[in-house]
Amino acid sequence: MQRLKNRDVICAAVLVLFSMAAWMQAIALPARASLFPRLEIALLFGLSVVYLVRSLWRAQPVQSAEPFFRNLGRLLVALVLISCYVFIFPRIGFFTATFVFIPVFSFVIGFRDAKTLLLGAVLFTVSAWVVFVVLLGRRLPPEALLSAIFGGGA
Amino acid sequence: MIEDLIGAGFALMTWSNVAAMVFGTLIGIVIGALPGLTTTIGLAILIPLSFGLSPLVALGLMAGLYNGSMYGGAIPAILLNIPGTPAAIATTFDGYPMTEQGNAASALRVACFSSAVGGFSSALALLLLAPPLSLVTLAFGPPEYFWIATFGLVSIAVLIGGDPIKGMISALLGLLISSVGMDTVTGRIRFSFGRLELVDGVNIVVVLIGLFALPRVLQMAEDAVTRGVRVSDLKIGRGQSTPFPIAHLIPTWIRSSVIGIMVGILPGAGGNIAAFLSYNEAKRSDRDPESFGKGNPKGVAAAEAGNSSDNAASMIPTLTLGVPGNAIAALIMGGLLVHGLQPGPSLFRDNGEIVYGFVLQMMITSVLLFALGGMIATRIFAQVLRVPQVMLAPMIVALMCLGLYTVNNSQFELFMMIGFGVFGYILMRMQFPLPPLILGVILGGMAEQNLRTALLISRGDWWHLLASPISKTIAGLVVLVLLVPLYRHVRERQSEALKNG
Repeated sequence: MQRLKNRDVICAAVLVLFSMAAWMQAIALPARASLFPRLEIALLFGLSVVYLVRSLWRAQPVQSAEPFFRNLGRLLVALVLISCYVFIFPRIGFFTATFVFIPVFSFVIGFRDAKTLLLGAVLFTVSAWVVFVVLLGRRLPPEALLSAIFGGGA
Repeated sequence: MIEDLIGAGFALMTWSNVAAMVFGTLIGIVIGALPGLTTTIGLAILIPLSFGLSPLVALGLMAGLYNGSMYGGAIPAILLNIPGTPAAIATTFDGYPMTEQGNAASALRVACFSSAVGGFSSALALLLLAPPLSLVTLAFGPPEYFWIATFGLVSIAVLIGGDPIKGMISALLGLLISSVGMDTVTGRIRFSFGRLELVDGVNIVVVLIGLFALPRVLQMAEDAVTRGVRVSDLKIGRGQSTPFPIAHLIPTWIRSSVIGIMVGILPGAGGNIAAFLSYNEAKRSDRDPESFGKGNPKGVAAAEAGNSSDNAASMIPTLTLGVPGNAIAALIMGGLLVHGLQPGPSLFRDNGEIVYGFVLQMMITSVLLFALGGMIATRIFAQVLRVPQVMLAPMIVALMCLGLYTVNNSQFELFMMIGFGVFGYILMRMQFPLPPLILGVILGGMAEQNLRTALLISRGDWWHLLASPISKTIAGLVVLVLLVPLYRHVRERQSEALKNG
């Protein structure tokens, strides 16, 4: 049971299953279009099997291994915050979203110096605006929130 | 060549190009100075941000970032014994002891000069070697290109990292990603799962940012380092800095530059290997090898000239064959592709002014280090270390999203970037090397297209792939590279047997 917990074994098994699933997708394609992918998948399958056999052979007790996640909680929080930012910024505008995202992300992860957070967010947002909008003339999503507050010109 | 070179020289004399080189070098020094941020991360963020700029301006930024970051890595290595980049590990051996002896200013000066000299000689090698090599490749047909792509991929997969199986799996995953989208010959859509956004394939920029930058951001969040380096920890100018006669370093610079250039041309190696080899060679050939590791400026000079002379040299196979030899070269190749430039022999023929412009930019940005990497500048750059990593992480995310979104205005690509980021994080934790994967994505199209063309020409005869002597030679090299792990294994067994008597 302990051997099966070995992360290399799990990873190799996932790769074997993935290559089998990819093969099923590839054989549904015409032979000419799937020639190269089939070669790749066949090699991937072969190497994954070798990796699996080697991992089973050399499997280390799971207790001796370094933990996979350094801090799963913070990792998940970071991923959720990044996903929210990616979802929101095309809707409310890059600068508004970024001005909120930087202090919120840093605060949630553990940095609690409010003055530095605010200063960092202001400096970064203003610098990004100067470089990308003023100097490079990039077209970014409209700042919906600023437009609602200050009128259409924002 | 001369006409293109002169044309490129004139093309570079515009304010936007000069500003790009200066700005790129400054950003590079800052990125190199920040432990945890590497040249690859910097380039991954920069490439989408440079989209929309003229190719020469974008390449100027990349050249500056590349050269600047190699020197930037030496700043924390010398001041804090923390290498800013992996290539600066060897710089700590003598750089930090010099700081402890009160010679930080001298160590930084030696590092700056050595990086500049290394970078310049490397760019000179690129200028002299790349054009003739690109002419040789004119004799290549589809089979030869197929083998070149295979050789590039196999070398990186087998030689980078300690596990060739994981390297090969990583490369194959990259090849599979490159298969997504419309097949150019039959017009069939492959592996798109009904998503219209994937019809044109996976955008290389999404993969670059996702794999190289986001995993580092996730690690920063996990570590949650809320404190930057305090100014009082930095020992710049503490005590009386002893000036070191720069002329004594010339032999070290020459030796290290040659080593760095050779390492740069070889696939699978990088700046850290060049720095270690140069350091060992400087130590071995010195009259007083015992002084190395105790604050010998020649140690700093060897490491810095070695890692910087790898820079432009690693672009030789990239620009001439379209096969990058390491992760940084792969990223720059990605940058060239984003700007519509296809590396290979046609690059020199069709875009001579741009490619020679890039070579000149590599030279100029090396020289810029003399001006921008001096003592006063170093004091300012060292202040960057004060920024806490938890604040740096969301800023990197914002730059990544800004750059990527402006390429195609696609939110789908932003989410795909997060997906690749998580995938890259898992691969990193499982100790799979990432450069083979990115190389697989870049070279997949080239390998497939040339294989199919060769088979089409020969009416399906696979032996046609080995018809010419060049094909046979490159295929032989592929086999040799594949045998390297076996050779290493046998050597290890033999040395173990010798130890056990």
